Amino acid sequence: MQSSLERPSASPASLGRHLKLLVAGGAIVLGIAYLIVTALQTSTVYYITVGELLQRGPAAGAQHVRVAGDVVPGSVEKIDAGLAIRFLVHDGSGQMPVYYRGGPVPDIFGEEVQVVVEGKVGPDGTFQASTLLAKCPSKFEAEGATGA
Amino acid sequence: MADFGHIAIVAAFVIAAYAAIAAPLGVRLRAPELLASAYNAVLGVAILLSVASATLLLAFLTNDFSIKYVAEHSSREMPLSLVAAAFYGGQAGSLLYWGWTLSLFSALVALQQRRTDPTLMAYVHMTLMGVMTFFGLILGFVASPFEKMPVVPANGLGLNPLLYDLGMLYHPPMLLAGYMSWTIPFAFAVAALATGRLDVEWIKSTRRYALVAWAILGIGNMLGGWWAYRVLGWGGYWGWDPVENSAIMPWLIGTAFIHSVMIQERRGMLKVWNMALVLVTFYLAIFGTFVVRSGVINSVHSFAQSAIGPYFLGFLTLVVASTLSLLFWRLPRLRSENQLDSLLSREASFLVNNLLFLGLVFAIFWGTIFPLVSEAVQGTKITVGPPFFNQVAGPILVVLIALMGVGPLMPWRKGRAESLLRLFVPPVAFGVLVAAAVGLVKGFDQPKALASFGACAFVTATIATELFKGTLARRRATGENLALALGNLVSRNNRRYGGYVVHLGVVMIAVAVTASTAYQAERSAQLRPGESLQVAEYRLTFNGLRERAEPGVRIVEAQLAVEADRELVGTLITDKRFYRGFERQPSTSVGIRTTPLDDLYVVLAGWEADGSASFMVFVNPLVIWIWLGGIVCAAGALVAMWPQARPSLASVGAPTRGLAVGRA
Repeated sequence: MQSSLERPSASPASLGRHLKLLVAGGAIVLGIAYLIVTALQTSTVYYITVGELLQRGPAAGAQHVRVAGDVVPGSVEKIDAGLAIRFLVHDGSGQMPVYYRGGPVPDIFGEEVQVVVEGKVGPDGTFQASTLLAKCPSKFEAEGATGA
Repeated sequence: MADFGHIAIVAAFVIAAYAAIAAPLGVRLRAPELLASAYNAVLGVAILLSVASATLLLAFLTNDFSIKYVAEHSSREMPLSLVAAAFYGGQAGSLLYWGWTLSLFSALVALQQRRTDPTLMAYVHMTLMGVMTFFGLILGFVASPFEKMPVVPANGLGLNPLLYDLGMLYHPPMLLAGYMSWTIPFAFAVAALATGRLDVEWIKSTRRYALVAWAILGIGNMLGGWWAYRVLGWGGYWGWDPVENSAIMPWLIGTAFIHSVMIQERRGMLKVWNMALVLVTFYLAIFGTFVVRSGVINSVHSFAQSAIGPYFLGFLTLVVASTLSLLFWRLPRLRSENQLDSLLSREASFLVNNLLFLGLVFAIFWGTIFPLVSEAVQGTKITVGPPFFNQVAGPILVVLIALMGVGPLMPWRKGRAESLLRLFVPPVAFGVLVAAAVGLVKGFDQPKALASFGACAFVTATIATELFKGTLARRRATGENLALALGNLVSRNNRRYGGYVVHLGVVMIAVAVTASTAYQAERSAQLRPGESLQVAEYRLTFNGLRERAEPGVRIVEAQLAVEADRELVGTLITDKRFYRGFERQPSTSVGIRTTPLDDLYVVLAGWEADGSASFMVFVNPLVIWIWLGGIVCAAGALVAMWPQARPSLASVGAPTRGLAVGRA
């Protein structure tokens, strides 16, 4: 701005140009901000612990949440030849049943694997997951990660 | 062997640190012998890290399980073809690969630019070797690939079956090399700031390196998507996972840079902006390596949490702080030589392009780190999933695509509204027509998809017109036939037309991504042998399960007969593989039948004792055009970065015939 004022060409016309540029740039920035804000309103998902979810009780039902925990050994049960699965997930704060259907079960899913499930609590208290992410603690680092 | 490799790495670390100090010191003290020794050091580091890498490779080949890294990522049964995947399959190996390729690129740059101004090159070497020192530190003392086992095991643990795929052989090294190669443009930017020679020269020497880095990172992203599509079995190629996001962000900023750099070359504008873009691209590349390796953000990809996270964060902070202060110090010298004349100009359309790319990256970055931010601010972790990214990125990308058609038609400086209107009416009309036509066939319930198709058609029309006009003009001027005129047009103006080819590739990808997102069909079912399932135009009949064994692996495979429009078109096989040592983690192979129109994508989900099996079936329209578009983009990039033998001499005078003959 300073440099442009020192120049002879810095006439009102150049100021008008700057204004136009500012308006155009501002419109783009506002547009993107609008996109981000509206998208945030509809697609945020709370990340909570199993304990927090259990504490909320039936009231939690309506809300879409994300829960991380470990798959309890011996709890995995396949339904419809593997189209759906049922298992228990626990973290330090509690344990809850999960039912997952509608997507692929990741190859690395299994007992004691760390998982992230997304969905809501159903009327029977089972967590109805629409997304299942498995995070293999030992993924590429076979050893030393068993406790993770 | 372990000691040998370790010593090579430590020596590389010491020499890199020496070069990073000697180079600027040589400039200060005006001591050419110091500069020469820094130059030699750059070459020396490349040799030492090559030795270290060769040592690790040899350890894999000879099954030297006294080295922890080898014992954990390999076994006696592992086929030789997987050695490369094992090499960078783990953390230490992938960092060694990063450092090694950086040392090679640094040496290459040093050799190529021997005749470039030694002061500038001294600071380039300083920066490259500074980054190198950091990797040497990590590799030598924090995450060493040559750490020894306390007891030598009889056999290794073997490579994780998830890595048993061709895509895995190519996509991680390409991505890592993509991250790494942005160090070169970054080094030139730092050198320009340090020397204060901020004219167009540094841009010229950086431009081609930036284009190479951009291409490598782009190919890496593409291969990553290809691997995910073929291996992960959820029917898609892009899931907005934090690791994917951090790989696409530097590429997007890099894309903004290779566009806005043209304005600086042409008009001497946007100097600070370009500088900032190069710096930010490098920050994001380091951030990407950090995200992949630190586990701070919950990701499917996240690897075991490790000690290197804090080191990367510290390094990133140091780099950001030092380069930003350098930039502020030089701000007075980065004044623009010109001003924007009009909103109706190519400069303005590039500016809009840059703003959109930056906005897109901001949105992706924000969405990626949102869990961290919300936890810090509110105390609760809030995540945003793919819907957020799709909602934000979709519209921005459609506008960006449309801009690919606007930019090339805009004249530099100032365009006249009337003539531009004449120029734009036909392609815009074509775009609207195509969007309407697709709407009539597929319905108008997906307006975003139609907008995207319309934008793609508009761009295709403008590029075709440009090529056609250019070719005709050249034929008139030179008397060449059409094919020769087109060939010469492209080779004489390779940057421009290479750019158009890339744009065409992007259009192919955009059409395919839009179609496969908006019109994907999906069904899942449990089938007994002999039963069928109809998905879109395909009818699948389950022919039963078969179990067989190959060395080191037990395979359960399902066979399905595929009919399209009541005609048998083939069989598909999808299976689960149980590798020795990984029996609890079967690896699923997706059955894919590709045609130019769509992919039939079948995943074996599981089976029961009675022989019935369950499947997830997707019909993904046009997916092959994503990969083909990627190839077109890579080809375009190659055209654009091809060195001009005789820079623009031919375009000066009219009598080009003699020159044309001389070249042909």
